[in-house]
This record gives sequence, C-alpha cells and structure tokens, in this order.
Amino acid sequence: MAKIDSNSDIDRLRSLLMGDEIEHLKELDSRVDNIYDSDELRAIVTKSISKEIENNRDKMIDALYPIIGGMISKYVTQAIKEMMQNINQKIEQGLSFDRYKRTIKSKITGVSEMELLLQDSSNTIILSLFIIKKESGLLVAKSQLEDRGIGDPHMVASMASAIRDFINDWIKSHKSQSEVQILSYGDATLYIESAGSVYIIAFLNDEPDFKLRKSINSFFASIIKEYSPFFQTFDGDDEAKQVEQLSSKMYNYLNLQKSHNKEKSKDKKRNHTRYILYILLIVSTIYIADRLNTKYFEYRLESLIKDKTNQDIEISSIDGSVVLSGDIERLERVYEIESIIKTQTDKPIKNKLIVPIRNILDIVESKDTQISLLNQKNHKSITRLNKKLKYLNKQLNRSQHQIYKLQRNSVKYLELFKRVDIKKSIAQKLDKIFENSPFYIKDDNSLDFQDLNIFNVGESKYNLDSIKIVGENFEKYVTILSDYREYIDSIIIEGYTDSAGDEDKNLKLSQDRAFLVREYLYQLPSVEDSFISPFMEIDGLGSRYPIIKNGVEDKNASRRIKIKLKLKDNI
Amino acid sequence: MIRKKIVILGDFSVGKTSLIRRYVDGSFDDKYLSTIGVKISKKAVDTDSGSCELIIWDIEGNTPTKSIPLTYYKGASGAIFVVDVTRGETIEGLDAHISRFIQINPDAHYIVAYNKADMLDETQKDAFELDSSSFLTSAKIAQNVDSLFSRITQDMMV
Repeated sequence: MAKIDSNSDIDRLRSLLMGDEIEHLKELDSRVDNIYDSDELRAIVTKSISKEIENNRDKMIDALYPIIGGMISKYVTQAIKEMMQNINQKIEQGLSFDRYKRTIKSKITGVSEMELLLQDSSNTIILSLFIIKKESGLLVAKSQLEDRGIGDPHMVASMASAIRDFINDWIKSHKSQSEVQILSYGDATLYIESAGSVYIIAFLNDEPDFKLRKSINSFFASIIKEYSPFFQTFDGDDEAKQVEQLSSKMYNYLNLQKSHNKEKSKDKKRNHTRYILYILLIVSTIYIADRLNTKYFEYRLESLIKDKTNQDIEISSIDGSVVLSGDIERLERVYEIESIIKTQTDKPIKNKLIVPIRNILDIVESKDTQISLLNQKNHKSITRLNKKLKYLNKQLNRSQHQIYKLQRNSVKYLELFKRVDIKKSIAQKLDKIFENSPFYIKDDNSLDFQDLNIFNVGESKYNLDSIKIVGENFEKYVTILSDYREYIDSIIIEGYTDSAGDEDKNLKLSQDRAFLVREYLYQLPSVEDSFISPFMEIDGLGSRYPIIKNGVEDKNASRRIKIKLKLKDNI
Repeated sequence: MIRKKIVILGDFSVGKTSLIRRYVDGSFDDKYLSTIGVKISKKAVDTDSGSCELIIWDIEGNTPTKSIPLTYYKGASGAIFVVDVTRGETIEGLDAHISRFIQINPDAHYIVAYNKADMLDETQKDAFELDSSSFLTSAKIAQNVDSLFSRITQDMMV
C-alpha cells in the first residue's frame, strides 16, 4: 500500500474522490456569505435572540447586569444631580443657622449643599446583607454585623421574598413596570436591589442615601458578575464553597461600610472641633476689632476736645456710656466738652471731671446774686400783677351786675311785648266784630250805649227794648273775650246819670243802674257758658262824664251804660 | 444543609394552616397569612438521603375578594395539596390547583393530603383509593402528618 504523506497528494486525491462535493461546498459557502448580509437572516437571528431572552430572561439579566446596571446608575446619577440642583434652589430660599453653616462649608469645600445635607443625615448602617434566590425565596448567602444580626435569616429571607412578591404583584396589577426597592417598618429599612435570578436585601437602620445605594449596587454588580452561573443553579445547598466565599465577601463589605461610617463620625467630631475653633477665632477677632474701634473713638474724641477747649481729659467707654475723667480749669468747660461729645455720639455721658472748688464757689456766689436780683424783679412784677388783678375783678363784678340788669329788663320787655301782642290781638278781633256798631269805641275797645234811652229820668230800672240791645252787644263782646280769660283783670260795667239833681244821689243812682244791668247780663246764656261772670265788676260814676252835643248836654245820652275791658298788668 | 421550598395549596378552610401548625418547628405570626396571603414556616427533616430544612409557604386559598400572587408558587421544589374530605367541592377543585402549580413548576414534586380524616368512619376511609403520593390526614388527631411531610421531602431529595 502506497504511503500518502504529502499535502499535495492528499489534495489531488480529494479532488479526484470528492470533486462534486467540493464544488457543492463552494456554492454553499457563497450562499452563506450572501445570507449573512441579508435582512432575512437578521430577522431570524433577532427573533431567536428575543426568544432566548424571553425563555432565559434571568440568565440574560445576570450576564448584562454588571454592564447595564452601571449604565442605569449613570442615568440615575444624572437624574439625581438634577434633583439635587432643584433641592439646592429650595434650600437657598430657607433661612436657618444650619443653613448658613452649610452654605459656608459648601463655599469652602466646593461640595454642594445638598450633598452636605445628605452627609449630615447619613448615619445609616448596613446591619445585614442577604442574597436571595428570586424564584424560591431561599437564602443563598448572608452576612450580618455580629452584634445586630437577624435571628432566623432563612425564614426572614423567605418572608421578605413573599412580601416583595406581594408588593410587586400589586405594582404590576396597577400597570407599573417598577419594582419595590425600599421597605420600611419601624426603625428597620430593607433596601432591595434585584438582578436576574437573585436579589440582594440590605437591612439598614435607616433609609439609605444616594451614596450608600450606589455603594450597595456596585458591590452587588461585582457579585453578580462573578457568581452568576452559581446563582442560576443554586438548589438550596448552603454548604457549597461559593456560599462560603460569598459570605466572606459580604462580611468584608459590611465591615468596610462600618469602618467607613465610624471614620465619617470621627471626621464629623473633628469637624465639630474645627468649627468651634473657627467660631472662637472669629469671636476673638470681632472682640479685638471692637476694642480697637472703641480705643480709636476715645482717642479721636480726646484730640477733638483738646483742640477745641485746650483741656486734657481721659475718655473711656464703660457699659455703653462715655465716661469723662480728668481735671479741668473752669466749670463752663464741662458744658463745652459735653456738647462736643454729643455731636460725635448718642451714647450717654458719665461725668467724672474734677473742677477746682474755688471756681465752683465763685460761680455759686454769682448765681446767688443773680437769683436775688431776679427775686426783686419778680416781687415788683407780682405787686403790679395783683393790682391789675383787683381792677379786673372789679370790672368783672360790674359786668356781671350789668348782665343781671339786662336779663331782668329783657324779661320785662318780653312780658310787655306779650301784653301788647295780646291787647293788639283782642282789639283787632273786637274792631272786626263791631265794625259797623254805633256803640263800639275803637280807642279803648269799650261799648258805650248812648242814644239808647236805657234809663228814664231819676230811675235805675232799665227799658226792656234798650237792655235787649245792650245784651246782644255784650254777648258778642263776651264771645271774643272768653278766649282771653287768663289775661283779663275785669270787665267793668259803668253806670252814668245826667247832670240834673244832687251829685251824691246821682252817684247812688248810677251804681244802681250798673248793678241792675249786670244782673241782667248775668242771665244771658253766652255769659253763663263762657264763665266770664267772675270778671264782671260795676262802677257808678254819676254825672262825671256828661255827653255834650253842640255845646249843650244831651241828657238822654248822658243816662247810659258803658262796658269796658281791663287786662292784667303782669301779662 | 440543603433547604427546599414547598408550598401548601388548597381551597379556603381545608385545614392547611392546622396541618402546618401541627408539624413545624417555628413560624411567623398568622397575621401575615391574612395580610399578604402567605405564612412562612420551617421544619428540619432527616431522610435517608440526608438532612433537609423545609421552608414551608402556607399559601392562602383564593377567595372572591382576594387573589393570591402566582409568584408565590415560583421556585418551589414541592407542593402539598390539601382537600377537606367533608367538602366534595374541595376535592373537585384539586385538579385545577395541581395544573396551576405544575404549569409554573413542571419539575416539582407534589402529594395530596385528604384532610379532616377524623370526621370519617372506617367505611368511608376505606372508600378512598390512596397511593404513595396521597394520604388521609388529620391535624386534629395528628394522623399521617409526619408521614406526609417526610414523603414529600424524600421525593424532593432524590
């Protein structure tokens, strides 16, 4: 059998035996090349990748989490930065001592106020870290702080897993794509970060800040990257060597966080000491500056006083007052110095200046003389004033007397006016009612019944026809007067005789005539109704006023009755 | 130690929680059952294949007003389906429970507990056709409770 040992021989043999197949293979190669570039294959591959992702989603996430997690963190970081900028703006609107402290620190260190705020509040400690298989809720690995561990971690892991599933199910039923990440109960907070087939739960004493979350996520990403295949195949066996390794890594991470936290606390304490020193320094500087300023002020005042008064005095500021001390030659200088100081400051002045006693005695003596002169002057003035006062009092008394007189007169005048008014009013009415009467005398508003032949010669008895006329007129008279009863003194019925015969007899006759007429008038109805009777008086005047016509007595006319009105004086 | 998740499923009031209470070493408060529909308990079991700690998820039966997340079923290595022998409708609903569980965990093991057996007389008990994966149990008189959990553990550990 020939030995075939060279490549060319083999190629020749291959071309002889497999010529057709090789040609077919070339044709297939060419077709495959075409397929790689075609859209058909891209569609098939895309579909198969999608299918693969759908079937093995957790595997894919495990593989991608270390890369995608970082990308997501980057975007989340950007979003949080924007949020922090907004918060910074809000903070700038607030006012507090802490805010000023933060602002100063931010300016010095260049760290934003929000980050400082987060740092201030960040005392959060990770108490335990669990890595849990997502589907079963079984605990894959755990690490806990020695003094603050969880009693039954496997049960807690399952329960936490159930709670997480319950909440995520609720979130999904409300059409949200997010997952629960923070669970808080009392003082405990669970921070949950999920990736592929497992998730990590950090049990904390408070809600983690952005930095801590980032730290946990980075640690988790490194774990996922390294242990992804183990996580996918984990069957509940916690004696696997990977579990031990994982627990060790987690323990180291926990301790690192703990020591970092301690360091931060120390830094904070150191910072506190530094702040106290800063404050002391600032306070000291302010105190020294204030003292220097005060000293300069005192020196300036002293110089000014020296320039203006040629007095050397010492000025010091004590308890907010300007204290003056030193010797001065004259008391007047004190006032000058005080007025100079008042132009420079509003502070109260305490004067401890010493003035020579001699100077003071001189001044006191001069002041006494001034006071004595003033007293003398004043005495004269007081005497003059007293005289003037007496004169004025006299004038005042006189004026008061005048006023009293005037008041009394005015009352009188008023009464008079009233009486005149009433008399005028009665006269007007009587004038009107007796306008065409031959018996009415306008001058004294009386009724004089002449030419009526009331009485025969020597008789007191009246004629009936005549007396009726008298009665009618008197009734009209009474109608007017009844309205003025309160002003009437009396209504006088006067009787007269002619001049024949003895005058004494005539007087008696005239009285009888008046009496009889009044008796007649009393009976008249209008007189009774008007209650005028008490005012009706009689008078007999004899032949005292005879009626003279053409130089001769008309004796018939003289025998007559006259009725007249008398008003009260005090109307 | 190996840990396995098992779920206890069945209609409302078939005696799931009573069975577990009879069996377990430690568990969370019952309030979680009414709040989130599940209560976690644990039990260490020694089998021929080795020691195992069961993490038992007592899942509340669906009610008209409350549906239980199917995610609770996920990752379970085994399931115990519980029915009430005195209520026929709970037995009729058994297939639906099993198929729902198998759909999510096709490789998991499961057994059936015909619970409240203390309510049956001997004749009635004999009428049940039991095989290796079904038990007549009673939480009240502790009948077959240990056997039930031992069997499912053994099945899971193989």
